[in-house]
Amino acid sequence: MITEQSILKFSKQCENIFAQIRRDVIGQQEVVEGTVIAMIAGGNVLLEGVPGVGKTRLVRTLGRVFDLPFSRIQFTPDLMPADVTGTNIIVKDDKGNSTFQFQPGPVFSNIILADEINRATPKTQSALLEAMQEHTVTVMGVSRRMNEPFFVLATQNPVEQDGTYPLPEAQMDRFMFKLIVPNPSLDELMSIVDMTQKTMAEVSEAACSGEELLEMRATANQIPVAEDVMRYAMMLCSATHPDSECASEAAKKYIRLGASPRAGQALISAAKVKALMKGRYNVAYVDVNELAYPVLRHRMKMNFEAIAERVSPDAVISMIVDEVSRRFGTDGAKAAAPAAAEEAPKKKRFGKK
Amino acid sequence: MKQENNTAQERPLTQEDLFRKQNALFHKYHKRMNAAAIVSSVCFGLAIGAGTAFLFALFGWLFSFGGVWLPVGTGLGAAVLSGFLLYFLKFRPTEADVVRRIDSMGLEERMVTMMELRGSNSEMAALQRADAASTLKNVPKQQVERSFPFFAIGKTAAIVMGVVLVAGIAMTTVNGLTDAGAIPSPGIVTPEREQFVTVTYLTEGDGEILDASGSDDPTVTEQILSRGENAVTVQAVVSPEDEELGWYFLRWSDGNTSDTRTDLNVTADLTVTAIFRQDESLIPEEGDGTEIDKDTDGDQDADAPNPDESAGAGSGGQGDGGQGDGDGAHGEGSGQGSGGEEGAGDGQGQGQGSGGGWSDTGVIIDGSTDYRDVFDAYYQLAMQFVQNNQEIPSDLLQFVEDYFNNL
Repeated sequence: MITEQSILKFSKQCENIFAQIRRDVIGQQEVVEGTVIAMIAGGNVLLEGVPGVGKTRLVRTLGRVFDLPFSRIQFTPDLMPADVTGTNIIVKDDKGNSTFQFQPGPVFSNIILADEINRATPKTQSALLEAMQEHTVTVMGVSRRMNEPFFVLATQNPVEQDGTYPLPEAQMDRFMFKLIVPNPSLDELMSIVDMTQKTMAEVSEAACSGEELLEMRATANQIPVAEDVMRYAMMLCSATHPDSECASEAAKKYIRLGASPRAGQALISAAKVKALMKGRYNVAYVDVNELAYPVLRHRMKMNFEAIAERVSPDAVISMIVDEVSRRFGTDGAKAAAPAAAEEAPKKKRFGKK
Repeated sequence: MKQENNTAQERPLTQEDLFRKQNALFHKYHKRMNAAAIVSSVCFGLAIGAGTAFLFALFGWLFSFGGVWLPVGTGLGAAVLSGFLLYFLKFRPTEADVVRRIDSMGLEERMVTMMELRGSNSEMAALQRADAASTLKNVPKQQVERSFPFFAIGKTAAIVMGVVLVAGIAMTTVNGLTDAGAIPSPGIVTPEREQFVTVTYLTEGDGEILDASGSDDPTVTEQILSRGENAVTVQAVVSPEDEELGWYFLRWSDGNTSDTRTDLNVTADLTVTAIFRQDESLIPEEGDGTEIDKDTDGDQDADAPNPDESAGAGSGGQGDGGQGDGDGAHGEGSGQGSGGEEGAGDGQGQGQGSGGGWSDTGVIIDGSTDYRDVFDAYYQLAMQFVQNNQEIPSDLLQFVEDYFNNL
């Protein structure tokens, strides 16, 4: 049951977590906040950014701050599913009888860093599907439950296309957020270089245990969501479908496949955490609008027109948020769109707007 | 422990206070919104009423009906009806509207959530309520005034309303003034021909048409009247000179036998002919005293059939050297002659001699006689009907056709 003390504890722990992360990660406020929100809400995160912007460092720091067992899997084209999930090996007992014994893979941990996940083959990528959604791993017909809390924090590089295998839609859908890790600003870059000149060591300390993280999740789950806000969030998800009854004009024009119901679940769970982080005891439209970008951007399949006109998913989400807000009469609650969303299509090579 | 007890004792009071505060706040904002809704309903209702009045006044002005009271009455009716409908169907604030409006002051859906948790006594609901109340307390007064304006109508809507109101009042005034005769009616919709009718009085024989006072006013023989108006009284008279020659008024062509007539409520063009006849006995004789057979050509006294009358049989009296008089309408006949007696009534005259007449079948009795002058008179009458855009009466048409057929 939620109490004032639990709320206060939640706030204090959040402050501690962010303070510790800031000791090792400079800048990237939105990415850090998004990752922490996803972890408290119990979702997996896909971090996308060019090499060297601190993706792996952030994930390592999170593992340390949450004081949870952490394992890193470097995805390569020759990585096999068994290398991820583990396999049965033959062992001999004291009497010399041979038996199969399950040797857990690196996935049996609390925080998994799936580094450069798009370098592995789809078969290996799919080895994570069950673990990410059901928090179980099935090997040789035997299902094994993962330790809670369990998170997959995956990174991928958007630039390198050779030797990569784009994640299938089913895999993408299992990530609560897709966060774009931008290049650091000039000041941040100076701070990064300055800090790493002194020492490369990561100095953050544990700020929250696994149990405390689960308590925080339970607390956040108690946050009420008004029916209006819930309807608005669901309308936002539904508006990404070009053929749904409340399809937005942007979806009709640019989207081939809209967000799944998991997007709605993720949006509400994350919005509750965000509201509580802001010290509010209810979810507001602005929470939903802000979280629409990380929740929806990887769940929408853009059509040829969007690709031809170089319209980014964030730009489409911005249009959808605008349209649904107008339709719902909540224009005032519009969140600031990410910088990428504000960019107009650069070249209109194929004529249409 | 002591602190926990204190908290436990204070908490229900705090919740109650919050409930009370919440209700008071809700009622305060509900009142504001309700007042604004009434103002909006009245304004929009007035605009709709003014629009309706404008339309009625405009059509009334163009088609000359209604005066002032029809636009005013319909406008007021539309204003009241639409005002009520707008209030109850559109503007009246619901509970959800009130809390949404409060939330729009930057409360980030705290009030909507609070309303949904109203019946809950959970810790979460209490915390949320306290959070909502404290946030609402920090809303500046200016923000409240901005979010709950008394006059909540947009600038464009207000301008449109003003224009419609002025137009409605102006058009109603114009229509009223037109109705009172202060300014002329546009008269652009109804053609003049349809607004006026013509009454024409003709004569047949030696007589004339005078007005009621007995003066020879030429305007009374052709009167142009507004549709539905009464015609000026006319009388068919015979001058003393003609009277001496035996002329007298017989009847009007429509069968009216009164020499004075007033046509009331004339809605279509009307042409009537006053028929005068001459008394044969008063015709001065000439020559050696022998009777002149005036009926040798049969046309002297042939009374043409009245096209307005459909039946009647008569035959001219026959009299050798006498006169034949046949009236198809009344079957009157008279005959004078040496060898015969004067016929009376229903063509029973039996005087000898050749006479002329017209039977109801339209056959020329004396096949060798050409009633050209009679035909000309009726041909002209038929042409008058044509000129007046009226249909030629069937018996007149029959007469003309029969005449040609007989020829």
